[in-house]
Amino acid sequence: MKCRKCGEPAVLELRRHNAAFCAPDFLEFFRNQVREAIRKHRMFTKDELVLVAVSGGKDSLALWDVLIDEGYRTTGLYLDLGIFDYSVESKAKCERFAAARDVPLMVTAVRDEVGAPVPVIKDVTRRPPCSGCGLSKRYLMNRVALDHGIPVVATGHNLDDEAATLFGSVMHWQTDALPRQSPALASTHPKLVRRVKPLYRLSERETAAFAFLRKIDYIVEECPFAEGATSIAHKEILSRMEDASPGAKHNFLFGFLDRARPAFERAEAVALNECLRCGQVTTGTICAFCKLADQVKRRVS
Amino acid sequence: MESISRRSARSSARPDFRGARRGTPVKVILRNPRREVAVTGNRRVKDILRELEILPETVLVICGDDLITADHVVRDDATIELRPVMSGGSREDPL
Repeated sequence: MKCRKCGEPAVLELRRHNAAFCAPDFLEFFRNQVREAIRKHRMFTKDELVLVAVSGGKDSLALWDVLIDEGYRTTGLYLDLGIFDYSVESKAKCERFAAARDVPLMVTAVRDEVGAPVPVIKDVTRRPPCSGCGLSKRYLMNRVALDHGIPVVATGHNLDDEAATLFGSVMHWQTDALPRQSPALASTHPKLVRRVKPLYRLSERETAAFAFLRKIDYIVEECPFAEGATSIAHKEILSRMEDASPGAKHNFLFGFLDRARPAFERAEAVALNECLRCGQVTTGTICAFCKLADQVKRRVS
Repeated sequence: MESISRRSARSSARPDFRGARRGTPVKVILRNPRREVAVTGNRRVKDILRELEILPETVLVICGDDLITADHVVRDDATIELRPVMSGGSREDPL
């Protein structure tokens, strides 16, 4: 198999693009996709500081690597979930990545903010572990950015993540979730920072290949709580469809973004308030994060 | 419907040694959990993936320090790693 651009032996085939690339041309293809995402959605400029949420996994570290190389001003944020050895190892990888590139990394522990680490939150709430974890991540990313005056948070969500989320929303016809699914979410409240996903044009396999070829030391092992997660089941279904019909995931997501999302966007009108407890944005009076922290503290103390 | 019935790297690749009976087998390293299986060599990557019932889109195929493509012929005695690319968990549900 030969590289589409230079004819040298290829290292990666991209069936959805009917192409294969050698390592240098794949890395350039990858960076071009990130540049196009940032440009098309005006995600951020080189004058702005970007908070990059990093987990130690391939996606977030690949994203941070590209943004640093492209000359963006970045600060990393690692949220320590307290998930046994998995968190110890992933945190160490983020710290080594930041130190090697001489870029700042902030660390916030869920245990300090909620009152317990994710495994305890799971037991207290009796809900899937990903539920309390996701809620804590969203809240803390926004709050840390606000506290430090950073206008935008970038996450490593890729095409597969976005297609799986869309699939889940459509399967349950969560029409309130559909307009909020976007590569770039503008700030709709003074206490909500912009949220952007510069990797949304790239598949999970492409980000893994980028991380490998760039020799990024990322955590290959899975979160021990991901086993059985609904999002994984949706990804497996979509991967079978992709195998049978290359481009299926791309067409599903981009078709939604280009043609269907605007229809749902018009229907959305949600009143945003400030939480009476913490002041962060909520659709009610007390935000879900404060309710979770209350529940945990009652059970743990 | 062969392709539909195949599985992703997360759940497949039974730890058997079906290929070990002929010559020196290819050692295949799998992850999550980490384990090894042996398969017959002198075949293309795509044929090995098919035998192990792994969808090509769900793994990187690594040989030494290189990525190799589906048409690459893996020789006897080689070692390859099938590194899963799928990750997940908490759903995106921003405000």
